[in-house]
Amino acid sequence: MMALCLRYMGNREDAEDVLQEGFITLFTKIDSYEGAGSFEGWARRIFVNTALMHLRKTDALGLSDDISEARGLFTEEATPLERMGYKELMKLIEALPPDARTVFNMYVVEGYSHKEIAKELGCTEATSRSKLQRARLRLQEMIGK
Amino acid sequence: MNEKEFDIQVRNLLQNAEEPVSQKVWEGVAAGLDKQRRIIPVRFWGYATAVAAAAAVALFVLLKPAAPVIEPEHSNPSIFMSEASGETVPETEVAPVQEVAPVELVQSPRVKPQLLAQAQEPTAPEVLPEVVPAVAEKASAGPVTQAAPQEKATPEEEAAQAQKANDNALLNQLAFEEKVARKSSGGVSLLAFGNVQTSQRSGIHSSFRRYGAPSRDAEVGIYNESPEVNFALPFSLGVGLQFNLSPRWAIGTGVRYTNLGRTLVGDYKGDGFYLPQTDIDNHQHWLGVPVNFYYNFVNTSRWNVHAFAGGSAEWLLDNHFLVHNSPTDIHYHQKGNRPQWSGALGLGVEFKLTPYLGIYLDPSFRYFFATERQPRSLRTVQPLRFDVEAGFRFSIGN
Repeated sequence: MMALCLRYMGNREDAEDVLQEGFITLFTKIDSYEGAGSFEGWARRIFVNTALMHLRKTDALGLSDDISEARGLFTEEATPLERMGYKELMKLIEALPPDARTVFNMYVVEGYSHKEIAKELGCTEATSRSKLQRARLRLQEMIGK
Repeated sequence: MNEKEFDIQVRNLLQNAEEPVSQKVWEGVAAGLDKQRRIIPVRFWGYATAVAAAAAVALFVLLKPAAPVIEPEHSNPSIFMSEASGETVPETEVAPVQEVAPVELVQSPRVKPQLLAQAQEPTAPEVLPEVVPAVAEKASAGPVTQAAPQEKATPEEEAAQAQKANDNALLNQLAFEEKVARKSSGGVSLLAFGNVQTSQRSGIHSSFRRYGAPSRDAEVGIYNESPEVNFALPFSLGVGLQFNLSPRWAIGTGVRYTNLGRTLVGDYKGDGFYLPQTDIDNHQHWLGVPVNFYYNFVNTSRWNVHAFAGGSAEWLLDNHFLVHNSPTDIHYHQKGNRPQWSGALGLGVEFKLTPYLGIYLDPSFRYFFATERQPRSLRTVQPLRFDVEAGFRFSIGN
């Protein structure tokens, strides 16, 4: 879960705060888990939700519709990731803007749909797609350097 | 490499990664959990019970001088005592009094001797034309008592004048009592009431019983409700009718609206999205039909003290969940399909402002019976509730 928190928060200090708060929520609400879905999935969502609440507080999600900005920027060229390890990739993800990093984490790693992301973050699906696209491009650029 | 391949490679690298966690995080978790455990539920119903008990004791003290009911036909009619003289009075000499009390009257002991004195006074018809003529008529036919107060009072003319004035007031009181007595026998009353229920501020839903709202089978709904909730003050409003079957017995029914509120944390499963552990406000709107039987064990011109027992069936009109979400909150509604049954037992007191209007307070204990589909509420946490119903009673007919 620490890795999850780190991916969302971008720095260890904030990630540890989220981890701590997430575990408190998890332990205090453990009775409310009634077996609907996997426990791991339920727990992961608590940590994701906790991270999102922190990001909202710091207004790091600045989610406005900026489809045009990202449209058409994706290229098929990509640096092979096979050569890259976890720690290096994490450093690149941490360097992403918070809003793009959040959408990237939710979509690519946690498996949220754009509809779910839009609902969670209070933005449109188009914005979610735009942020994801921008995060991908930025990562690919950084990996290519 | 296309988007999908890129995503898969990133996911593979990140998904099962582990990061070391410093000790201070676990210490913070332990400290945070200790803080959570210190929440102590505060119960108000104990205070309300104490207040109701004190009020009941005070009322009994105030009502202590009340005398027994005057019967139209005395069970032992041969004699009773004239308070003025202390002598025994034959029944035949007090016959006019029976005309004054054709219905059951509850009055203070001082009324009876003064009434006897009044029977000899010609001024009575002016004060109470509808009640007194028979008294005055019969009184004029002959002496009422052997120990006529006038004989003793003759040397004290001033005292006699004062007595006349008192008699007027007493006969007015008698007329009031007669009207009240009529209303309490065979009459119909309209009730308008509010029910201030006691509440505990927080509670824990039982983990041994599974309540039906929301259904886990539902596609959209509230899941994984936190067992700890905070409750709002429940309240009820209603109107009803009370039928007096006899001076002692009455039956009442009507309609009652009840609002139950609580705040909780739970998961909301929407159409294509999922909000885990979100703040939720829940308000339940109930409409019920109570039926109560009343027994009046004290009934004076001003006060009525009664016991009552009954039951109630309530239907859930709307179970409204307000799911807090950014940027817009989500409203989720459920409806109940089975009635909620409850039984009540209580003591009540009514103060009669006029023969037609009284104000009453009916504290009671009410038990809510569990059902398979009973929605979670204060009633599932605390099925035995202490209620204090207050209202107005309008007498609308005999």
